[in-house]
Amino acid sequence: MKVIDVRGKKCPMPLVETKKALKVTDKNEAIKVILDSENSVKNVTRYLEDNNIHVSKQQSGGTFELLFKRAGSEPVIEEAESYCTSSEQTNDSFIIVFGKDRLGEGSDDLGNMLVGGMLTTLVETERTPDKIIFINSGINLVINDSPVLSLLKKLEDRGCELLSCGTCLDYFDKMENLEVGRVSNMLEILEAMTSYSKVINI
Amino acid sequence: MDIDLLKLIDQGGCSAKLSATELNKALADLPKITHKNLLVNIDTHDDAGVYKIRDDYALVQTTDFFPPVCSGAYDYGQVAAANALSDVYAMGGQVLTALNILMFPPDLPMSILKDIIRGGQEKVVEAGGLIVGGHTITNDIPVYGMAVTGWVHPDKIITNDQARPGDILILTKPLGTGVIISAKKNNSVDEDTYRAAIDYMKQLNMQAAAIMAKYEIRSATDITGFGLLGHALKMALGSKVSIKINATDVPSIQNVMELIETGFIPGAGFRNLEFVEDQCDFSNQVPYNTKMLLADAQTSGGILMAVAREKAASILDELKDVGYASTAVVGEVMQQEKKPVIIV
Repeated sequence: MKVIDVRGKKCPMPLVETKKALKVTDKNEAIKVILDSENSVKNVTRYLEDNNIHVSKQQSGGTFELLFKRAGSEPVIEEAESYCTSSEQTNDSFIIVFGKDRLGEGSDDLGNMLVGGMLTTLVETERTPDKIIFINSGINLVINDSPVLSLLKKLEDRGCELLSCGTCLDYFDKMENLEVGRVSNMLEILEAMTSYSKVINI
Repeated sequence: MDIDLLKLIDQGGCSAKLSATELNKALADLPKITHKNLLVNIDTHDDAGVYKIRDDYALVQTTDFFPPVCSGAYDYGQVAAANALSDVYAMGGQVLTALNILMFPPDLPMSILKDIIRGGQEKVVEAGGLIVGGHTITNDIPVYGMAVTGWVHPDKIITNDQARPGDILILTKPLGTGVIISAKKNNSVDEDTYRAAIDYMKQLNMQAAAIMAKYEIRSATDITGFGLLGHALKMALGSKVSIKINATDVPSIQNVMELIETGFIPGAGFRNLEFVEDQCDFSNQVPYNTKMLLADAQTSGGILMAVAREKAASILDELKDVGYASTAVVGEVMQQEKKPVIIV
């Protein structure tokens, strides 16, 4: 694996170094980029994803690690021993899509409670989805009066990306109330849903 | 004393402009103040405000300021002034007066301050205007710009919401200043390319405004922080039309495409693309690097004007004659389609 450390480098040097690494590295060899600027993480990730390269992201404190390989869209799985600082080690990444703010059909109250139960279990079992996407009434989970904010924040701290559908926030007039994660668009949401082999729809 | 002003800025290539998405969100609830004499307000995100004094006289008012975009103090003053004055020209006006706005670190030599102000002053003189004062405070990094007042005949205001289907789009300066500045910050650009960018940024849009007045052009905008795509989008939305951009016809400063390929894409480029992409229809033929060029944030960029088809050729010739050597036809205005901006 090729490791490039761009901590302390100013934007857009992390992208320049990443592109340089992509050019000289064998297409099947994994590349790890270590960064300390959230902005650069965003831009480098965006660049790679725009070019159909799947990126796995890890964060511990203010340090971010991006893992990918030139060959393609499959996530890179790192061997455990070379990644002992990681708080999680799943062999299969997955994403969750909340198309509503509750689990199952029948009783809405029960459904709301079950969402809390499910997220608590996720946190406790240390299973972190790469992304959780919130669509339609699903956005009720990420706005300021959501009962599961602290659970989502915990997942976010572990590197899970929380993406809310911007059109949905607009529709419910809740753009101002978004409390965790960030606003996304259909293009990014579709790309996430199509690039993962495991998408859990709620 | 030689101090590279670019080395004073910490934020690297991620430009100083606040994200348009965030800005729109934050200000959405504030009441809109209107007035019968206010001819152009912030609704259409135009370049400057226009306030009518008499039936034949309106004031054009605008301000712009930013941290250093180049290494030399005099160059910085010239570029910041040309950039601030540009909004008046984009509205079809002429410059009357300007006020300096300066933030300056107390530990830098005063000769630098003088060179910045001198650069700005000479540009205002070139524009036929007067500097009538200003204000200076201390700050960790230099920030310079101007508040500019110009005038325009109310019937001859050029806005970004009057583009008509069938119009041809002309761009007067090549793109790529954002890319070159970010490469310069990292000592990764040759002197020739850097000087070319500085010269384009210093070049006033005054002659372009004169030509627009001569040909009675009604719709134009200057290309600055939101990139060609961002400003084209504002024009398309304001005019209720779709704008088609022929990506291969869009001029770029020398070596810019190579720098983008190397990775010198400032954060502002990504932000701009994020802001516009939902409303853009990119053909598959448009390469990724070209997309980034079209989204590149410009400092003191050129004018994008919508001109009647039959006049396009003579306008193009005249713009080239007066010194806008890279002027090009970059697209056309169409009836409203599914997306406001179409890039082929």
